[in-house]
Amino acid sequence: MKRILQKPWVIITVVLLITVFMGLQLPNIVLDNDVKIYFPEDHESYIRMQDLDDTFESQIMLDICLTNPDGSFIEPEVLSVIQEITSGSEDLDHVDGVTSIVNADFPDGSVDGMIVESLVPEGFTGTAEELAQLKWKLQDWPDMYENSLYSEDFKTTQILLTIDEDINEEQMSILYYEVMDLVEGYDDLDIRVAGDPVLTEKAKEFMYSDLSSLIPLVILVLLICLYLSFHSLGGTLLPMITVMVTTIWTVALMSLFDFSFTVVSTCLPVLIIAIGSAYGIHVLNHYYAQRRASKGKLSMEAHRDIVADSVKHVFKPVLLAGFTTVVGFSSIMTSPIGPLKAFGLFSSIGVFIALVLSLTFIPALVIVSYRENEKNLSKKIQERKTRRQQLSHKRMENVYDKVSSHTGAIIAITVVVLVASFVGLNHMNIESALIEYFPKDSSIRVDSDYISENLAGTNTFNVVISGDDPTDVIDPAVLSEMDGLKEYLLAEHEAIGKIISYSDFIKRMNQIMNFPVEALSEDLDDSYSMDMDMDMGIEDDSFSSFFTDDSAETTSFFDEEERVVDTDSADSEGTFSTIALDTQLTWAGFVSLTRDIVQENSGKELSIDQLATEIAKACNYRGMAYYEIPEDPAKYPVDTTEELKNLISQYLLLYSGSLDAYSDDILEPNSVRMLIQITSYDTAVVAAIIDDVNAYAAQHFPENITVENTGLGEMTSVLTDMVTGSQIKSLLTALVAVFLIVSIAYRSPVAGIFGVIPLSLSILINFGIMGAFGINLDMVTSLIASIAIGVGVDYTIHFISCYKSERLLSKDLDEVTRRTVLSTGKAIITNAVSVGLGFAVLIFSQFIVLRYIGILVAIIMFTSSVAALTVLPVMLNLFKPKFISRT
Amino acid sequence: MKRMLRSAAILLLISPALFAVTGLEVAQSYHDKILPDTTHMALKMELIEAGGKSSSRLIEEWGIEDGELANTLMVFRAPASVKNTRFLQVENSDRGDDKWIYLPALKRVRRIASSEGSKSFMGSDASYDDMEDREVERDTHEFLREEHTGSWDCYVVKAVSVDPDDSQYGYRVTWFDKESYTPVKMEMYDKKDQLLKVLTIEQMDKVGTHWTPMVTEYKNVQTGHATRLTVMNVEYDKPINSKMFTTQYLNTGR
Repeated sequence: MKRILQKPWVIITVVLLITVFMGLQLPNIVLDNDVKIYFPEDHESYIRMQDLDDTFESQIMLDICLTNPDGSFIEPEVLSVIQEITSGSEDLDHVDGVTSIVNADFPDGSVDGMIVESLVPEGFTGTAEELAQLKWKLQDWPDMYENSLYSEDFKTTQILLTIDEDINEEQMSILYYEVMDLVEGYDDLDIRVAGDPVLTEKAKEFMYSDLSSLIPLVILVLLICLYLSFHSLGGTLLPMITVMVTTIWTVALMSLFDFSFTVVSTCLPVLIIAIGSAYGIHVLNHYYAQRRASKGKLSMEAHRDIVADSVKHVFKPVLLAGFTTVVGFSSIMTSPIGPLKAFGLFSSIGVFIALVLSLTFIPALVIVSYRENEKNLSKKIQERKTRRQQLSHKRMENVYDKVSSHTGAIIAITVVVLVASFVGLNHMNIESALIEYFPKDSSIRVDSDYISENLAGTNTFNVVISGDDPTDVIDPAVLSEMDGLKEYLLAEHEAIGKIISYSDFIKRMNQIMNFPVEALSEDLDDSYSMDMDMDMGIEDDSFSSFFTDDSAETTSFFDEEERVVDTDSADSEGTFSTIALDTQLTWAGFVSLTRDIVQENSGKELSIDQLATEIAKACNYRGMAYYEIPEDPAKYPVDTTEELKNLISQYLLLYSGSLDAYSDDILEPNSVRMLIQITSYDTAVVAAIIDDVNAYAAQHFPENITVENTGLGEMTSVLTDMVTGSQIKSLLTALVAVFLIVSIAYRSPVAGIFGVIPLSLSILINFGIMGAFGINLDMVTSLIASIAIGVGVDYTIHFISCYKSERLLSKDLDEVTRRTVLSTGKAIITNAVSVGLGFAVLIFSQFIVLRYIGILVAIIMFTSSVAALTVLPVMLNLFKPKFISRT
Repeated sequence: MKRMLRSAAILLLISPALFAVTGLEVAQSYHDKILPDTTHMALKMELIEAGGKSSSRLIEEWGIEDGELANTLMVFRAPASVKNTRFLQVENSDRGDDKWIYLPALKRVRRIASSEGSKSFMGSDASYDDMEDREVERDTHEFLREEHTGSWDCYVVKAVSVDPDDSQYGYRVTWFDKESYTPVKMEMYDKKDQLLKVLTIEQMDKVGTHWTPMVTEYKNVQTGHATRLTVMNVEYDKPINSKMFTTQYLNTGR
């Protein structure tokens, strides 16, 4: 050590050079909060999500929600705004598709066929009649448009942007601002932009603002703490500089190794600054004590010896303290969640760097800043210091006296706290949705709530239904179950805002193609004949075909057995019949019809809407009797269900253009999906829906059909499970590590148990508080336990080692306890207060979750230091373990 | 389907070689080509997924040319699920094409009216618009260069829609075979000027007097999905019963 300190300038130069280099890396750090980065890439849920992006469409959606506060969005001016935003969005890079009221398809039936045009068709001028028609069209297919393109009150609609799934974080940020520009300037309308890209971008904004305000704040807090304990410029600045250098190095290393900065890592600088200063303080404490002890002026040489001596003296304890802290933090690396792993890694690295710098850089600075003629520490200060020490000693004594006489009370309080904590623990809510990190009154939550209230919500996942073989899934029985699943989920879960299913398209197609002709049959262009001059010498009375003509070369290609032409006549309609639309209806007939409908639905509450629908079905108004999956051969002009499956194939051939987002193959799909939109981000809610999907699937779908849940909502729900698993794993790892360290240090497993108890206690209290106050256990708050262990274990070790040495001097347990508490108590409390205060600055964070972590770490610093000073002595005195009195 | 081929190709009598050509002349020469009076084809349509998985459909097609106007009947032959699905398209001089479909499982003829010309045609990578004959005046034609592609010596012409809303594409670049004025390759760019689809003639035979693209591929480069059309049999100018181009025939097959 002495040899190293011979050349302090070398150390200083090296550290400064590294710092400059590292400082240059800082601008390269990438802030990223995409939910995908929290996910292990080899997890099946992640892989499924990637597959989903590939086979259907990208799951990254940006939602521009538009409200006309003074009326309906079905007004010419509002529609032209929607048109402007829609076409503006289409031109943006990385936007794969845009859906809005002005361009969404409206497939409709007519007496002679099918019409597909936009909801707002070409040549739309916005006359009152056209507007009324638009509203009517929207309500004609509620499965598709309700709560998506129109809210119940017709004030709100949305423009949905599908974004290329390969977009990177930087491009996304550009896109976000382009969209914000696009929606700028429409002051008469309320425009809200939501979706995961917005979440990511807002999180980034919050992080910038947090980092730029919290770091100065925690530095200020630390400066005050340091000044109060050293009352000298050097003592204040040196540890400060060290932790700042440490922070720069650590964050730069993250950037160098391509780790992105997440909400979780926002705590990292605060953690390093609050905790990393402790080692430097130890070194300086000892150094100042030595300086005070030495009389008269010191030569450069003698001063250097003092410094080296101090380093040597504190080397071991500082190293042990650092080691245990690193163990605590690195336990987080057992987590499968990437950003947590990174936090574990870099907080450990940060502590290590702080440790090394405290033992080299600080001494080097102390040496070079010393002037031979420097006065010894002024008498005044010394006196003041001694006086203060006596004072605080007295205070400690007072506190101790009050507490020590109440062993029973300590035990009782501990038990009560334990029970209360267990009760709280049972109410613990585990969460991992990023949006929950934002305060309830933040614009992003307010907007998201608004969309959930008025439309279908922005949290989504998909149910993907796949068959063993192509077209298995378009079997009417399967599609019908798919439709059943949708109905079931909508009935069971209020949080579901909307479900759009592949089966909805088939139902609509079936409706359109079975549109009744009888009503206005004179309009039907039934026997169209070509307006053509027949005297072209090309007339031929036969219908020759390559596929039937035996002599043609191609016939060998297809084993055509039947005649090409259908021999069954076209008029073989099914046996199913509805009331003809042009039937004269008497009131008696009407009453009997409604009574029949009520009878059929007996036991169910029928709304006016439903009754209207049932009546429309009864007379096949606009084909409504056929808004279903064709499943019953008797209702169609076919003999077998297989033919109904063919019918669906034929629909697909016809309707091919619009279904690629809901099936993997247009004509012969292997898998189809339904999109579930949820008005809540609560993962427990999503998990309940997923459970129900699985239960329904197991019961209703045939063997050859696989049902899978996938998408952001599902991933978040899996992530939540991971948070629990990760918390348990890192907690156990850390506790076992502490147990081992303490056991080895005192060569007794009993000592290990004593070491673990105060920590377990304070962690339990922490969880209890979280449960009781409704603070979610999430990725960020799950760090608290490990931080508590990393920092708190030092208190235990300090206390036990001090108790042990006192115990060896005396057999009077009360005296031993008293001396131990008085000597270590101050150090423990000082450290706990400064770490607690350091973390407490997080209360000023923009993220609600960081505010929680600030408060909780402050509390846990308090409880673990108090537990070390009260519960530990009570237990040691009660159980009198052998290891403590062994020499 | 013939339209698909013709937009891709379909040929004509050899026109006099031009020394200096303009884009418009090339496009006009293609458009003015003499088409067969009747066409009768057996086609295989293969749909090839990005992963290479493919499925195929067999289609028989009849066409009659009446001056500028064409009528086309397509009958799906395979697979069994869509067998005997019939599709009739009739061009009109004064309005858009009339289209009807007959679904055998429903035993009904239904008219299809769609303003969505950019939608996939029968699950292929060609859109309904791709199937249409585009009037020369609807685009501006810019001569780019002369170039060899495949075994053909070509004029390369860029076409941009006069009215941007009149086309699903930003622009198209077409390679016209100098000898037959048949487009042997076409690149279609989306509205963001990104390459969207490439049409390539892989084989072209002269059947009678008509150059016929025998193997044509439409590839969507953005999705990796492709459609390959193979002419398995073709007859030109053979008499065809004009009753085939009626909804009556569509309904009954006779």
